[in-house]
Amino acid sequence: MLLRVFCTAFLMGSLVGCDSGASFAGVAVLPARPAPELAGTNWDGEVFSLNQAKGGAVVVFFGYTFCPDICPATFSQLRRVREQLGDSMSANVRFVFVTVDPERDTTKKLGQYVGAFGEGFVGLRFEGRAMAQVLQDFDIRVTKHSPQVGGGYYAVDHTGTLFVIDLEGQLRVTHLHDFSVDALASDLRRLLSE
Amino acid sequence: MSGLRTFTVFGLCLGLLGLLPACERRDGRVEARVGIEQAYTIEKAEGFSVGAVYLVIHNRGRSEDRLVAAASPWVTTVELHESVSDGDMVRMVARPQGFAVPAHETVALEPGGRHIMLIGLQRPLVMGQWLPLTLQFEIAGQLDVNVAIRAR
Repeated sequence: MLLRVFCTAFLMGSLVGCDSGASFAGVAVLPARPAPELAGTNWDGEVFSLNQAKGGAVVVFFGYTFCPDICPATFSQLRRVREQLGDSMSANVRFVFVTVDPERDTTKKLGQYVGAFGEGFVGLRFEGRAMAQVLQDFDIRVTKHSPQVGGGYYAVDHTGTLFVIDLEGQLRVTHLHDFSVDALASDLRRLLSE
Repeated sequence: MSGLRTFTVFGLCLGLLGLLPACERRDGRVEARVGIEQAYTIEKAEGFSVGAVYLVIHNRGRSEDRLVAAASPWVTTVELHESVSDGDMVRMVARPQGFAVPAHETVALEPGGRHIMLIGLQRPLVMGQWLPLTLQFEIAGQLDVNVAIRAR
């Protein structure tokens, strides 16, 4: 009888301690690791620092404003994620957009673009070595090219991954650019209730 | 003799019938061959220079058609593009050869895939208004579309 109680307790104990990363809708980062520091000035002049954003969840993603399709779609999807989370939870999530095209994306342009999506969005711009460091830290590959010869403009192909950071500043899960609203909202809800 | 004449007349009639499919009426009613549905673009505030149009193309004709170009008085340049996923990368690829629409089939231009890229917006795109767009098809010719401007 005592043995049975002991075995049950042991099993339950090991389940509680078990890493339940497999239940994320996105790709779990295993083992979780501290997110790289990401510090810059938001388009509205406020300083943003990922290390100091603890207490809330953060979603970091990369793109550029001359992108007509994927980037606006990503922003719209993230707005829907906020709606699904509701006001109270959304207040504890920040969506941080980092431009991979600092040449065209001036602070003013970022402000117009990111600002148009409302609350909860941050837009960061880095140049030169700082930009290179951020890209390296998040393993973001970038290719500048002209889709149409003589088109007079360039596109910036880039890694479309979204990085989800928890309340302790740990990188916990990633999503691809074609994420579903339900999936990301579910992962954020989970992290916010930890 | 009359049997031969009957045969000749019959043969001629058959021949004429055979010619009919090749001589399709070009009465300018392109809607009969190609139908466009759900054309929309996302609102863009002042200062935005690019956008994308998405729509659904129904090809009701007997032969494959191809959307080869588009233009709008509100936009400097309009091109046909496709967003392509390459592992975790997102790429933008120009499709100057356009988008084929097989006979009796439907092709949808959607976010994350094929789209009509607007380069150089000459005015903001205001939700609730309609962007005038002319589509150019290889066979069906020109087709004017009013593109709904939706909320972001």
